[in-house]
Amino acid sequence: MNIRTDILLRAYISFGIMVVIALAVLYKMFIIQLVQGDKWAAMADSLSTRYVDIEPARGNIYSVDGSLLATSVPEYDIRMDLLAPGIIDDDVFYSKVDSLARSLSSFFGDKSSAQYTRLLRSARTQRNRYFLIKRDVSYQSMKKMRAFPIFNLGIMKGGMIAEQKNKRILPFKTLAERTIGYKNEHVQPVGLEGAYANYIDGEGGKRLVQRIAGGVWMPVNPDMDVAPVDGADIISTIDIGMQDVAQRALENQLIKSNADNGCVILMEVATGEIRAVANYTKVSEGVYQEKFNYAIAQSAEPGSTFKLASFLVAIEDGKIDTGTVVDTEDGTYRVAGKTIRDSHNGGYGKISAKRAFEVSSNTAITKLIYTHYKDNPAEFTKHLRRLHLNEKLGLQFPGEGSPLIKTPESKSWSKLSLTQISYGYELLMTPLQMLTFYNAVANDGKMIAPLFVREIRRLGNTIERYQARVIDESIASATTIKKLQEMLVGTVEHGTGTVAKNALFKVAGKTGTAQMADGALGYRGNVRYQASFAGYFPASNPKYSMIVVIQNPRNGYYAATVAGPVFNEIAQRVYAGDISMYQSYNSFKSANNNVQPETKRGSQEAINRLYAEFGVTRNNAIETTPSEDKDIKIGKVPDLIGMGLKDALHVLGNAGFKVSVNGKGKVVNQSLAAGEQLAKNLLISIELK
Amino acid sequence: MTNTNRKFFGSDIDWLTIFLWLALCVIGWFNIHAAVYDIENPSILSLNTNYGKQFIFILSAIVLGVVILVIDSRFYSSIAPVFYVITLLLLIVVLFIGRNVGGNQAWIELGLFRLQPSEFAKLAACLMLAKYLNINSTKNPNLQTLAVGILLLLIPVILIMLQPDTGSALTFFALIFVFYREGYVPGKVLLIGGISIALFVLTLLYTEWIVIAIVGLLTIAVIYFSKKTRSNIISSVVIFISASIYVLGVDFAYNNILQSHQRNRVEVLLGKIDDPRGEGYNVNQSLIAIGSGQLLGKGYLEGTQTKYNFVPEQSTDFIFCTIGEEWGFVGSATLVLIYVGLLLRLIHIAERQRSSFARIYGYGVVSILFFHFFINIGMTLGIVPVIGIPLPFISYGGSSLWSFTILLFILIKLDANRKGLFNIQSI
Repeated sequence: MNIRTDILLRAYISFGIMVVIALAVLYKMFIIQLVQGDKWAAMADSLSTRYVDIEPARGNIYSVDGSLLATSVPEYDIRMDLLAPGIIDDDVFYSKVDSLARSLSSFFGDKSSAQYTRLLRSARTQRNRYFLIKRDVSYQSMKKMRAFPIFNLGIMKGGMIAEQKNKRILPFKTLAERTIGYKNEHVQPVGLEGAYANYIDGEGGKRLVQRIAGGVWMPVNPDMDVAPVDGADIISTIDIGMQDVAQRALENQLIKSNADNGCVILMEVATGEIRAVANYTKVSEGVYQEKFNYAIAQSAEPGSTFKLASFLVAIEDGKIDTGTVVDTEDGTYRVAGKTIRDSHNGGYGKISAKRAFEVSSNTAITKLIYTHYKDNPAEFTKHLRRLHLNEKLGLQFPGEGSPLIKTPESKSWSKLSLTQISYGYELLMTPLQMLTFYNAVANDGKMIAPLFVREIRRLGNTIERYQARVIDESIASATTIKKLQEMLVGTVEHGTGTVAKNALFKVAGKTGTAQMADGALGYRGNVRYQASFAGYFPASNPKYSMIVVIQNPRNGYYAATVAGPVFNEIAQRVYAGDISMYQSYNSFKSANNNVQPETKRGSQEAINRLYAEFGVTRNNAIETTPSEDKDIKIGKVPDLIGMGLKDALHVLGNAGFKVSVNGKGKVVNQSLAAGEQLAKNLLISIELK
Repeated sequence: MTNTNRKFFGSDIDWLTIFLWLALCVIGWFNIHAAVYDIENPSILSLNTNYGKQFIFILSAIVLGVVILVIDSRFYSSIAPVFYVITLLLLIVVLFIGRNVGGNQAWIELGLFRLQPSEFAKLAACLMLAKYLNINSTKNPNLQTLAVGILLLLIPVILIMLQPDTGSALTFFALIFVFYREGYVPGKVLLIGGISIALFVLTLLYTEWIVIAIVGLLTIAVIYFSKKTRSNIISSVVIFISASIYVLGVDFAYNNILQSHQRNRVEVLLGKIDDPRGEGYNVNQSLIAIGSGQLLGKGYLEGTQTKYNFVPEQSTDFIFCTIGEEWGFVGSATLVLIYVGLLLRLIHIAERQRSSFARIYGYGVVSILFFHFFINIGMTLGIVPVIGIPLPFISYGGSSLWSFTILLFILIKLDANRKGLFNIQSI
């Protein structure tokens, strides 16, 4: 009896435990699914869908002649999922891991295949699903890697993960690299890349993606996307040929003179467009790199090149004239307790003001300025300021150094200041600011601010166009300017600037040799010099102005031997390469014969005008294609064959298409058939040849 | 002979059990389809997918079931020792020539098919235990029989631990329940065990002093309400003191002996820390899947967590997630009820056996299925730690389905013959 109830009890307890535990499970399910259900459902949604950022394509930077200065290419970080479905089985993985390691080793050559094997095996033991194999792999290499053992099991099964990122490249490498600049995360952006980031970067898009089998994220619905806006292209004013010439000439001279650093700026006189900016800093003996944009950033005492401004003021104020005779005595002039010396020992005797400028006589200029302005130095400094020499140029990118022209009200003004300023000390100017002044003289008194970016384009359409800002229509009277121009020509012809003289065309310019203050030691420390040469060419009809500044040359320091040759070499090469400077070219006239020059297809009106301009009589009988200018309708695919790129883009833009362009020349192929009526905003690709 | 045949097709077979078994198999098949759904092979019958293969496994399991029902029931009793030894040999062999998948040296390659000896070891151990306890059933339960019985279980457990497959090894401990039913383990031991586990969990959840205070209050209450005899009071105080020492010991062991990652696992399980990316990843994903099913579920093949492979081992150990997500509370509760129905039916069957071999074996089957059911579903619900064992009849896998089917159908066969087999031990 007792045993029987005991056994029954045991059976009942068995039943009971089952039931209690089943109830516990049901209760827990009730809590999870019904009480907390909403919470878990929301979490499920957040895990299976998400927004991903779509990186826009960054815009390109072009030179003025259409060369690509900066562009973006895709690059990949290659990682590996060592627990990918295809290799989860030990046998498969361990039988193939050696061949994968061999492929990686021979492909990259950075590690032995034994090292790769060890890395992969240890990553496998650690069950690493995101093992980094190689960074910064090109698209072509990434494609090739897909065929490696294990990776070739399939995109998902092989476990190869390729993460794309965009890499900025400069096709011309170091050419103008400081001016092109860069924009990286966590670093102060530099140059055009930084200044025009708003345009170049574009706007990131967003896309809703959902997770599907195999851990792949698929776009849910294209309509829900925020489309990325690709970055606009920047057309800079840099001319790649001139930039190359400038950089090479400067670098050679820096190496030769073993200088600390140097810069060259080449500017188009009429437009203010900067054609070349070169900056070099010595990084080790004989090695120079673009490290700092001296051209726009470095404010320094310019030295003798500033005498042009002093002469302008004195002549314009009617104090002196080019013929004014000045006695340079024995080449020293004692004023306000300081002796000013000429570089030429013994002086020049009694000479005209013009000649004093040409030989860069310090005693002459200080004597002239001191004599006429000692009673009212403010008249002199105020006039200098009226020349905008104390103003920043307002460049298109940040980093411009501040100029400084003192006045008698300035705290640091001393009785020495007037004479010091007159030959280029106790004042600060950047090379570009000095060049702007010289350019104004070359431009018959019209002062314009330099320009680095000419245009911003999106999909081939100009969205912004920049004109040089006119700082001052006329900084001095025409006669004064004329006199200054003659002085500059004279300097090169028979003054200190003869090194820049050549047989082909006339050059106007001025040398400058300045002692540089050595930090806290001022002028008492090691004497260091800054050699410069500013001027323009051809002197008869100025096309380009240029400044060369070289700091602390160790082998010879006179501007004439250091900066002058650089100016000369660049001027000659630019002249040789720029056909528009040859006078004879303009007189070319087309012979009126029966062979009608071929035109690209486009606006009939424009073609007629073009023919008229060249004096070609148009033979309309040959013309077989009628004008289609009025046939542009939104969504209707135009016939583009034979058109030039500009016309094709214009027509397609008006018809509401997006364009992808391939090749150059005339359109030979279009991806959508002409005449079809389609939705707008479709992408059409055209091939040019 | 004629008699036997009529019995085979007749009412002696427990058709309810067979129906529940088949229902579970089919539920499993459909949910495997959802769990590893392959867009390129959408058909549930497509044979190069796991759901296509599972269909073949089910068909072959049916054939296997019929074969088991046809074989004479005495065969199972007599084959037990041989089968047990063969399984042990296979468990040794697999350690040397086995194939390592996912860190476990558990599979023997047989052409197209992989055999998992540990699955069959459960069946072998169950039969062997029944055979051994049956031989000794005439004696009163004694310690020596208990010791040998436990040893019979420990040998396969140790071999499986060497693979190492802790999950499978743990299932053998479920057979302790058999010893309880047969009177080898007194109820008090189970009670003390239960109380120990409860105190253990409470100590980890709350500070040790709170637990001791609760135990103290309970002791005072017991003394107050019971007869205040000297011995009652003394034993109550002794229990209180031992419980307090135990609690302090647990606390000390937990903080000083366990490694930090082990503590992490326990704390995630107890909900003390939230760690959806680390230790708690699987459980968290599983809870998201089940929880987001809510009342009615997302519908067949519509589960996002399931389809997008958030939950690992979704077609095997975590198959219950798929059911929870796609069929909701209604569907998963139905499954639990079917399961509990089957288990209760099996206890009923075991209790009605006249031979102690069949009864002991029946309890063995119930223990193994129950352990799998509770641990598997419990782990997907975050009630118990993650232990990689399948949900019988539901999870994907041939070895698992066949071994559980054989386990169950031998019981059905023994039950069908219960009237003709009074004294199987006399054979």
